[in-house]
Amino acid sequence: MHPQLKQKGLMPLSVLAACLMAATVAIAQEKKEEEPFWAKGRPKEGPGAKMAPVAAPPVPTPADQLPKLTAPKGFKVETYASGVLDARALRRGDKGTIFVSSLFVAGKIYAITEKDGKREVKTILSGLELPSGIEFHKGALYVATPKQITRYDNIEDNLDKPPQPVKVFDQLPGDIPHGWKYLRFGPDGKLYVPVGAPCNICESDPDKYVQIFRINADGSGREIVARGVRNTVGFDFHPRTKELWFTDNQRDWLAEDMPLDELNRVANPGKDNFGYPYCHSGMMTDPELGWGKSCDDYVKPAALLGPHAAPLGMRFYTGTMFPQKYRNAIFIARHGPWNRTKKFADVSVAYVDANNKVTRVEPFLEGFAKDNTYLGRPVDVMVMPDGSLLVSDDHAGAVYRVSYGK
Amino acid sequence: MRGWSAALASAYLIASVLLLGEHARAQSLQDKIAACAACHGEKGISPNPDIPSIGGQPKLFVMYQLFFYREGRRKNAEMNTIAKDMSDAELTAISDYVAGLPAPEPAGGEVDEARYLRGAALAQARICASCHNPDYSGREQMPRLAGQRESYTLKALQDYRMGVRIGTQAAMAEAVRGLDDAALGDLAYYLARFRP
Repeated sequence: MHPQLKQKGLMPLSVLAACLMAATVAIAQEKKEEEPFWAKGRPKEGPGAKMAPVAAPPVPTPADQLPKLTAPKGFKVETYASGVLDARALRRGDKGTIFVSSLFVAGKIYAITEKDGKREVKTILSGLELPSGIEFHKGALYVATPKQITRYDNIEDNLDKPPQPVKVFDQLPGDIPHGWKYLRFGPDGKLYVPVGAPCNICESDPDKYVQIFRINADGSGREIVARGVRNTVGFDFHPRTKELWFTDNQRDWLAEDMPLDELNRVANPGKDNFGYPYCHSGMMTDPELGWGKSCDDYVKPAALLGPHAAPLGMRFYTGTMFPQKYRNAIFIARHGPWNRTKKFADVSVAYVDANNKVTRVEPFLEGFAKDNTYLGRPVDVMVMPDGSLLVSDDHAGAVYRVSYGK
Repeated sequence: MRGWSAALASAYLIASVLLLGEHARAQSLQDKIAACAACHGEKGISPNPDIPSIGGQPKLFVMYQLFFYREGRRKNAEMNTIAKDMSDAELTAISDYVAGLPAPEPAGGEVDEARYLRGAALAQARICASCHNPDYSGREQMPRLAGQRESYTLKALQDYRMGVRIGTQAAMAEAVRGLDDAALGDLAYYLARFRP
C-alpha cells in the first residue's frame, strides 16, 4: 500500500483497489488506441516498420494460373478444386462431402461434392463472421465463429438448403484478434475449442483466453485442456497415444528470426501451460512481460517450426498410400509469415518416434512463395480415405490433392 | 487527354486479353468503365466533394472495394448496383484500369497551416504512414490517401469509427478509436492537401 495513503488513512483498501483497476484499464485502453493490436512492439523505422498483414486477393486465382507445387519424388500434386475463395479448414462428411470454411474474405462455408465423376464447389452458408472453425460429427456440421458454435444437423442430405442452426455453445469472448476458431472432436468424443490471445502480446484472463478447452457435444461440461496458448488454429490427436498435439503461433515483432513458432504435445491435459505471454519458443522470456519468469516453468515445445512461420492446420498421417516413413508423421501447413521481411510457406512434415520425440522436420509440399511474394498459402491438411492428402490454400482460393504412386 | 486515351487503350487491351475477344463481354466491360468515369471523373479525379477520386489507388484496394460492394458488405446504392453482377475477371480488369489512372494532385487553395500541422501530428500519432506509406500513396489493400477529397476521407474515417466499414482486417477500427469529429476532420484536411 502507498505509505502516504496509509498515513492519512483516507482511502479504504477496496476503494484504492478499484481506483488502481480503473487506472490500469484506462492505461490499457490508451495504449490500445495508439496502436492496432497487431502492431504492438513494432519497430518505428526501417523495413520492420513497413510490414502489415498480407491480404489475399478477393478473387480466387484462375485454375490455369495456380502455383506449380512440388512434392518429393514419387508424389503427384494436382488441383482438387479451384475457385474456392479464401479456403481455410477442411473436413470430410461420412458421405464424402468435403466441407471448406473461410475467414476474413469470404465469410462462407463451401461443400465440394462429386457426382458422376464431376466435382462441384457450392456455397452452402454465407454472411458468417469469420467462420473458420468447422467440424463434422454424427451427420452434423459444426461451425464456430469468434462468438459462438452452432450445428447444422443432417447436413449432407441438405446441402442445397441447410437447416436452421442449433446453438451448441455461446460462452465465447468474441474478440476478433485471434478469436477465429479451429474445431476437432477428440477420441474422447469431446469437442476441442481454442481461445487465443485478444492481442499480439498482453496479459489476459487465463480462464477466458489463451487456452484450448473441451466440451461435450451438446456444449456442456467445459474444461480447460491446455493453457498459455497464444493462437492455435491446428491440432490433431496421436493415432496411437490419443494425445493432443497442436501448432501455436508466437508473438509478432520480436525480431526477424524470433520467436520460432511451436509444435506442442499435451501430455497432462488440464495441467500443461505452454508459456504465453511470458515464455516464447520454450527458450526466451518476453522482453516486457517475462521479467521474473522462467521458461523452465512451462512445457517445452515438441518442435520449433520456424520464425513467424504461422503453422496452421496439422494432421497425423494415418493412411497407407504414402511410404512407410510417413506413418504417424505430422503434416503441418506453414501459412508463412507476414511479420518477417523474408517470406516462405510450405506443407512440412514432422517425424515423431515411439517416445514422442520429433526427430526431424522437413519441407514436403513447396512452391507457395516466389521472389518473396505469396502465390499461395496453405492453411489446412486432411488425410483422405484413400490415403491421399488434401491441402487448402486461402491465398489462391484452391484445394490441392497430393497422392503417391500410380 | 493523353493519359485518358492511354488508359482507355490499356483497358481495351485488358478486356480483349481477359475476355478472349468476346466482343459482347468486352463491350459490357467498357460500359462499366464508362460508368466509373461518370461519377469519379474522367481521369478518376472526382469533381464531387463527396465522391472519392479513384485514380492511382492500389489495384488490390480497388479489387477489395468492388468485392465488398458486390457482396453487399460495403453499402452504397449506386456501387452495389454496378458491382452486383461483376465477374471476377471484370472486377480484376477494372481494378487494373483504375490503378493505372493518374493520382490526384493535392487540394488547391490557401492552406490553414495550423490545421494542416494538427492533422500531420495526428497522422504521426496513429502511425498512418506505416501502412499507407510515408507519402500516403497506399499499397496493396491499403488505399492512397494523399490528395483524396476531404469530405470523403472524413466520412470514411467516421464509417470506420462506427464499424460501418471494417476493411480487410480490423486495423482501421483501432486506428481511429477515440478520435472525435474535429480530429478526424483535421486528418482529412491534412491528407487532402498532403505535400511530400
